[in-house]
Amino acid sequence: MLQDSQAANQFIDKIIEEKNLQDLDAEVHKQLHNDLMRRLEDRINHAIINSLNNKQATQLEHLIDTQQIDKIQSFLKKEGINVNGIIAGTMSKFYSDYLGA
Amino acid sequence: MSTITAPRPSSIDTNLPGSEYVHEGRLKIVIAGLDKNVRNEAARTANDVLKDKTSGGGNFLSFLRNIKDRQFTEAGRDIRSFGRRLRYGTLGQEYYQNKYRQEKEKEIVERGDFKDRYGEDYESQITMRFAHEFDDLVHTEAGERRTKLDFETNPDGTTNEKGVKLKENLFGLIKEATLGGFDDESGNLNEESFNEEKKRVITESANDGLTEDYIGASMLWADNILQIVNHSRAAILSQNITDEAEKTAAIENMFENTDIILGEARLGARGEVKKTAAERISEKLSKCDWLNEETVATSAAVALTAASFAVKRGASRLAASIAVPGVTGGVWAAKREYVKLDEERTDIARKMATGEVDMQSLSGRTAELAKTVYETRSASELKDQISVLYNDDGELRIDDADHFKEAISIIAEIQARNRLSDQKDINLISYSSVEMVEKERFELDLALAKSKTDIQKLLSSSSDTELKAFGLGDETIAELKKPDANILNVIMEPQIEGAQGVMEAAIERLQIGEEANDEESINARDRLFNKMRRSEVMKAFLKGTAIGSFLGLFAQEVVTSVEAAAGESTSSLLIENQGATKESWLRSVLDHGNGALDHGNYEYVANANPENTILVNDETKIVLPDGFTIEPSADGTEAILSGNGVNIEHLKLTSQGTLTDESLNQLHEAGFSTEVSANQISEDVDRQVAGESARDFIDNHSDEAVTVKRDFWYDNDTTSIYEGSELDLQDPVIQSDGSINISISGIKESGTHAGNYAELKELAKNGELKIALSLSKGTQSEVFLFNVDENGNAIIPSDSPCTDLFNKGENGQLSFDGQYTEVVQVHGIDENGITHISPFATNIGSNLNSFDDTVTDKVTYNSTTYTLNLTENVPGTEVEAKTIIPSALPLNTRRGLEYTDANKATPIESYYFSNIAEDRRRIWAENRSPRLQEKPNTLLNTGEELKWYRDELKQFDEEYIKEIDGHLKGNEDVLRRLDSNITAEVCISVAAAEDSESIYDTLVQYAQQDTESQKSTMFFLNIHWMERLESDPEQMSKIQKTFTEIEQAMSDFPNLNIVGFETVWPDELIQSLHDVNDLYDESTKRLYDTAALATEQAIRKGHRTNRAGAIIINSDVGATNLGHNLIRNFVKEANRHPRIDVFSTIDRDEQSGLPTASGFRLSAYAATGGSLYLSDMSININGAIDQLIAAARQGDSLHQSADQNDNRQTNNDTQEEPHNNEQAQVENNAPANNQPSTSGAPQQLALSSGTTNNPYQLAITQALANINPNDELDEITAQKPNGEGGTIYADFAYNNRKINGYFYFTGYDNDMDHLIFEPHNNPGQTEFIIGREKALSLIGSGRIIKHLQR
Repeated sequence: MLQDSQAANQFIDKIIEEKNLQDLDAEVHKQLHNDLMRRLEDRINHAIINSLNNKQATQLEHLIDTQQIDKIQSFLKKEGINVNGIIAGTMSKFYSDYLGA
Repeated sequence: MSTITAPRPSSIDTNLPGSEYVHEGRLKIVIAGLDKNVRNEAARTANDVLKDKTSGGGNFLSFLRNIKDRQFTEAGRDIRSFGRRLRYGTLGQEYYQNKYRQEKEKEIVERGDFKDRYGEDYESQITMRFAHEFDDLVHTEAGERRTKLDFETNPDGTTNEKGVKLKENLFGLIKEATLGGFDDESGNLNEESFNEEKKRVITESANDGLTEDYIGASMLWADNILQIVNHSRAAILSQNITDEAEKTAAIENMFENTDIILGEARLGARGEVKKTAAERISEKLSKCDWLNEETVATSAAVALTAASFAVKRGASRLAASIAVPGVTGGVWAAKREYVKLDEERTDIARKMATGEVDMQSLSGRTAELAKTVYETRSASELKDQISVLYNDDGELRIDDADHFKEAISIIAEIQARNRLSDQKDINLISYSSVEMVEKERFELDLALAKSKTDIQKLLSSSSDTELKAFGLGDETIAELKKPDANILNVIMEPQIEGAQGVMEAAIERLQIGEEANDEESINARDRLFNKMRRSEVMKAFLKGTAIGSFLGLFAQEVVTSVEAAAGESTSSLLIENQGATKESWLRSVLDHGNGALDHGNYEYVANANPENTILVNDETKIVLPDGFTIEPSADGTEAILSGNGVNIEHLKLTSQGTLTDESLNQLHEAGFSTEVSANQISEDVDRQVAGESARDFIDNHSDEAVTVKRDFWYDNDTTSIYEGSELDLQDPVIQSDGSINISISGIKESGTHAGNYAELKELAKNGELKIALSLSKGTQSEVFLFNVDENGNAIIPSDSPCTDLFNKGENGQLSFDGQYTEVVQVHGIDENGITHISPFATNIGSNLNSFDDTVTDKVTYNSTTYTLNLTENVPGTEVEAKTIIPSALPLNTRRGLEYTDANKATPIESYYFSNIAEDRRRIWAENRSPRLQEKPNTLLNTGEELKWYRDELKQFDEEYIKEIDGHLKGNEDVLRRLDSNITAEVCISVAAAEDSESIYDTLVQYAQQDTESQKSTMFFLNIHWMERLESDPEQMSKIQKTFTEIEQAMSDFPNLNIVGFETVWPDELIQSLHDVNDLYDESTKRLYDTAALATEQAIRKGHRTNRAGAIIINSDVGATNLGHNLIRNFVKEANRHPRIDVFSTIDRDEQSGLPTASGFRLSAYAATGGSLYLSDMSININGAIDQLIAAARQGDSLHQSADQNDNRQTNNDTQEEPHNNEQAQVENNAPANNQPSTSGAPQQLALSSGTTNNPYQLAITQALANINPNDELDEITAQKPNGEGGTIYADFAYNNRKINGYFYFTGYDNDMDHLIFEPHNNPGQTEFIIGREKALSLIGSGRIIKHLQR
């Protein structure tokens, strides 16, 4: 889950920060942060899966179903999926969606 | 007396079976009728049966035709088919429909369940859903209903006698089963017996009319009574109640806390919202922690850098374009055949969502398209809805169940819209204007977050009584009170199997609407769009057909007339050649009358040909008759079957790629019969594991591990003569094939203990001498055994998992990572399967207790093969005719690039090639394709040459082939479009770190080509960068931007068929290169080979014919002045000059002065060995390919004499400019006896500066000498300048003589309105002049000429 990623948290924080919401109630800030994180995660997953062909998608599902979560990244790399590029692109789009950059 | 009660939620013993049916402290017995499902299922299958009976066979017309042709057997078959359709399809349709429906209902009821259709656990999913308290779990809009049985009274106050009776029946059954009434001799419940009794009780209750008000006629139902029995039995057991009376009392007590839930369920009621594979996996991915911090951190850094780029640039286009930048696989797969309309729909949706257009302002087709756009709600409106939840003081206005439900619904809808928008990349929320998007989006998110926070605060601070007032049940309240509970999630997304949360319900509502055909639902809009698309595509098809027919007919007549006039074996309407093998369509009509086109001459049956097998995906194959193809859409949800005039669209595919029933019906109706065979295919997928334990390693390879018992050790104390040291167990050695050899020198005759070897050899010979590998002390009873041969060598094969157990140390020697390497004698296997061994010698390994391993997982796929036979003529189908139909029917007038007419009389064109070393010529000559070896000037068959080339590449470098195949696999969706209509393949090498500013503009130039050229072109992009750049954020952001720009271009220009792949150049490769610029050649080589093998694959898969040719066009990023007709001109010139293989543009790049694009025939590239023999050339790869082709075409072979080569070499030494011997001829003047000739192959012309004894040079010189230098040559017939300041190839007439040759541009005349040229090799001697206007018009026209080698 993306919630555990310090970099992702900082990324979302940066978006909220650039919206100049210093006076935001801490709990609302936390909720907003969580909501945005979930949306970002949805978009990343969507982008990753869209980059796979049917067979690769089946293999990925197999890895998830058999709890081989730690193998997912190496699998994607082996299959030539540019994980970094896809995630960076999704994050860039997300960033621009919220900040109009 | 002990009692049992249904446990409270807080004290649920989850070990007790059936506790999932305890809600709010009460046990729920559920019976849900499935009658409607039975009826629907029966009706559906009955329709299928009827369709089968009325499909296939001939029709009345074919009957008449067969009678006419005296084909009585076929006629009889036709009349039977006709009669069958009359019987089942018209007169008796209703009767048979009812009959089959009833039969099917009976079949389903007798079968007793829907497990084969809905899975093993469908009953528990229904009963758990019905047992739950949430109303949302029962889909009333789909026809479901649920009632809690009130035992005492009816709604009208009368006694509910039926209810009481039903309760007695059910409780009686449960009590009997709990007390052991259906136990076997071991005291266990005999489920078969119990189920039989349960069926009897419920059926009798139904017959007595006790259930009809609640669950229907009880044809079939789902219940949880067995689970309830198991629960009550377990409860009694857990309380150690043994007394029968106490048991009975306990059961009665349980019944006091039990509800009976009755209802009707709809299986698959939400079938329309089946999750796609992508949605399913996405959901699973979101629940697991698969991303590591490093990846996220790196990506975040790049994203922020890219974002800062956008800020600096201040351009909204880039901001909008930073979409998904991955260039591999599925991201690009979104582009497809109907993409234009899709794109338009997306565009209008985006514009409507951002307030750029107003529905009211639209008209015509755009308005129609707008109606298919998903229903959106404005961000402001949604935000206002949230504000309604607050009073004027900003406090939540929730004080009762209605308000609470309203609040939750609002939150759920907004979140559902967000989630679907994110997961499907669609717009479900609109904004007032483009400028307001970010502001309104964020304000909505903020308002949502605030409302959720407030509601959570409210719930956490409310008492149980208050929570109940909000409509929450005990169970939900208990969940809310748990310490770590995510309060809103308990309500919105409960993690209860089979239970649907508020969120899921909201998503479903958006997907399918409140009712089955809600016009505002996503599905309804999709249906509307598909309908519209069908209509639009058909209109376009008809329009194109009408124009194409006329033009095609006209064009064909012109072409065939010209060919006929030129003496080809062709007859046209105007010119008839006796014995012609080809004739125009009009000529055919003239000669044969209508009879030639009579349908009676056609074959009506076309069987599937296994060679024409189309892979829909890895799991599904479709075998079609020749001439047909099926093309799945990029997203795999639909397919089009086409060929021979047939076009069947919108064949629906399941998520597994199989054809739906609806699609099969479509095919049947179109005259196809279908045979379906399904197999399950298991595939081994290897994965590398590091740091594995010995135990895991052995378990992973248990089929190869052997359980052993060491009976004794041979040592000094044994009577054996063998000692460990004597055997001299050597260190393992890795061999060239990857196997590992462990040698025992003591077995060798030359060993110091030679006396032992004979007996050891005997053991080895008998297979009793082995090497045993033990991974650890703890696992030494399980070893891996390998035979020792008579020479003392034990070979561990390269494919053995044990090769992973050896690693090279610092000194380069292999060492064993495990515990022991033993030389053992094997005595045999005992009855327990244990192998008895006795070790001779032992080596101690590294004992790492951590091993690398290659584990093979079994991945299972369902493989389905459809065989489609055309059994009935399809209206409009062009099927094989007995009479050969003229080659150019109006609808198919386009000529392929390649001809097979090898006997064309025109002399072959040839090319100049300069200083090519003899050894290289020798290699080229030896390694060109057999066709070229045999006849250098032959016209090539693209498919044949590509197949040969692939085999050559494979032999040469299998790893390279794998790399290229990987590129193809990553682009398999777009490559499905590489059919025979693709005539050009444009290859662009993109240096990702350098081309970010220019790649978009380059692609724009291709997007400005005419539409037909775009569609008939496949673009291959190799995006590459140096690995070393990846540590530089600035470079990475440039690379990122390049991807973004490409993605944006793809989005902006959906007609471009783009195949993309990435290459990251490792540092070691760069270090090995002479020049970093060589990376361009490496990239280009991969591009050409990817294009070549993609085409070969398309032919192999039946997407493309062998004869269909293509021209490879090479273009640099940043090239300017490509012109709008570039591709069309390349293809046109390739068609016009079938014997010329290499082409380039006249126009030059403004900066480099090089041709803006160059190209060559794919068949020639393949036949000459493509990229295989181009290394170490002093020129770039394109120049090298040109020379390679030139050499091959000029018959350069080992058979030529050294003298000839030497002479040519001498002449070539000072030659820099290119020539073409045929073009350099001066017709009429060139002495026939001076024609060079070598082995029948075309000879090259060797011109050199100052040489006057060359006949061609003399001829040109003489011809030009007669020209008045001041005369303008009005008779110029085909001047082809290649740029001001460069060389032109001129072809002109003067004094009734045709002259052609190469000339330098020397400048303008005094008036600057003419360009002056002088002949090549005779500077200053003779000039001729071309009018400036004419020259400039030619230069700027982008016309293509034969390539001029430099």
